[in-house]
Amino acid sequence: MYRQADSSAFDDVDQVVAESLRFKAKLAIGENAYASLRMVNRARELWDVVGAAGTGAAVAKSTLVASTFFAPTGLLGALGIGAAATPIGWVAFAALASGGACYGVYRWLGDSKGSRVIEIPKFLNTPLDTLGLALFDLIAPLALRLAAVDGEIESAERTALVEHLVDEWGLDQTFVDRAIKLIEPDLMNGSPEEMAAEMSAFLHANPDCNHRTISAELGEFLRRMLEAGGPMSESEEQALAACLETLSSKPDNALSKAFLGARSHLVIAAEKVGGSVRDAAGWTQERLPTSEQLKVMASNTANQLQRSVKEAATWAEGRLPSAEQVQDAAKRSVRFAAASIRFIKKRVDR
Amino acid sequence: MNDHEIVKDKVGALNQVAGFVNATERTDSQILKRIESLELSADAKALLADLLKLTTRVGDHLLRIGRKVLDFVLLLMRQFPLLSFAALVAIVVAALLSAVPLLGGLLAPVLTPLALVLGVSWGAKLELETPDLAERVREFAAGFSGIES
Repeated sequence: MYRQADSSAFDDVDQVVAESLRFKAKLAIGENAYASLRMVNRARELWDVVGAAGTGAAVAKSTLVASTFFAPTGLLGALGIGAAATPIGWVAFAALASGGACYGVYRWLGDSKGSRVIEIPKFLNTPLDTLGLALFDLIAPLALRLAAVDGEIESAERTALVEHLVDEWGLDQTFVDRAIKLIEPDLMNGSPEEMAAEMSAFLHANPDCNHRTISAELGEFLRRMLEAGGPMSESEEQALAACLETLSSKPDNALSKAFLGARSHLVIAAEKVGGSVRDAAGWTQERLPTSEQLKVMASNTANQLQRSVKEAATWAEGRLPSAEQVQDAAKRSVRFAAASIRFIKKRVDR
Repeated sequence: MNDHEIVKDKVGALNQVAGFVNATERTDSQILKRIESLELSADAKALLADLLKLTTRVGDHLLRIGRKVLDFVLLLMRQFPLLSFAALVAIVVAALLSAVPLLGGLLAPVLTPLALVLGVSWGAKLELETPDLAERVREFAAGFSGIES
């Protein structure tokens, strides 16, 4: 019954991202989207740090420093540690201190850059609509789940979410309206913290997303959204604080990979049961990210379907603390993904 | 054939090439949108955008060679969905360079880095399993042959 509704839900939608510049700006990734520019920047940083260290060492071993600090009549000479030249340990220390200071300044400037300057890369590594879809599938359930913590999602909260996704992220209004209706019934399948962990893992793993900036801005939005529904209750405050901490923390590498893998694995396996994958097989041939996924999609007989679902569940169980938690989180997206593949295919085939 | 006829013949051939090269199924912005939806790195996409802008002037005609190549590759992608974008680019460029060596010099600034990021080699002879594809690529490359005449 709902599958029929799924397939028609996006009939009048033909894009996920309506304002590509706004969307790319929101990712706050700037020139780091390009591996080549990242490499050049790292090399430049390293060169500058080495240069600063060399300058520090040169100054430390200069006659001026030696005669001022280390001469028998100099400042340190008065303490009994005077010498004819600057001791090698002090030179090495000066080099380390200068290099470290230079590196620290670079890190500090790099971290604050995302919140001060908007840099927009012309291209991303992930197909635009695919990334838009993935981010919607992470932001919207988390926001709505948080809004539902106090018992119900108020219309002001829902409106705030739609405005955020459309006005700030540049997503298509029709898509957002339809997709929110589609995901709402499955919201209670996961806890807000699980959803935040999922989002944190995605932001950290995706080369097109600036984890720190996106999670900070998302945190501010979540608070604004909850406040739009009236004064925040204690349960909302607690849930928001827990989510923000999870969202901004660096996810455990092995866990995040396993989590993301399990999620996509289960989505695909479940899609296959629905039969919609066969339609999308041609489209996904070169677009889906891993060969593992392609392998799963290649077979379409009933036995193979069952085996795939079983394999996916076993795969998740072996790698994660609780297979049930992962499966619940993955299932949230299944219906949504099945329907959305259809309309992205429609758009891409043009 | 006198000189006047030879010139007229050459102008006619050039007009034909220009008509072939500048006629594409998609506009620049449609090709760019399609490039954005490919599963390729941002570096590769930027190089493809450079290829899209690649032109050369022959006589009075500005030939949009890059756009024609990309348009054709995207057309092939739709017709041969089992072949990857990188493989199709390699097949088309290899055929083009062997049919019209002059294009090698024109395309080199974009093709060399593109080969690196896509992990393909333009010189390699690719065995085409689909005769239909081979025929289409041959016809496409033949459309450029008037550039050298």
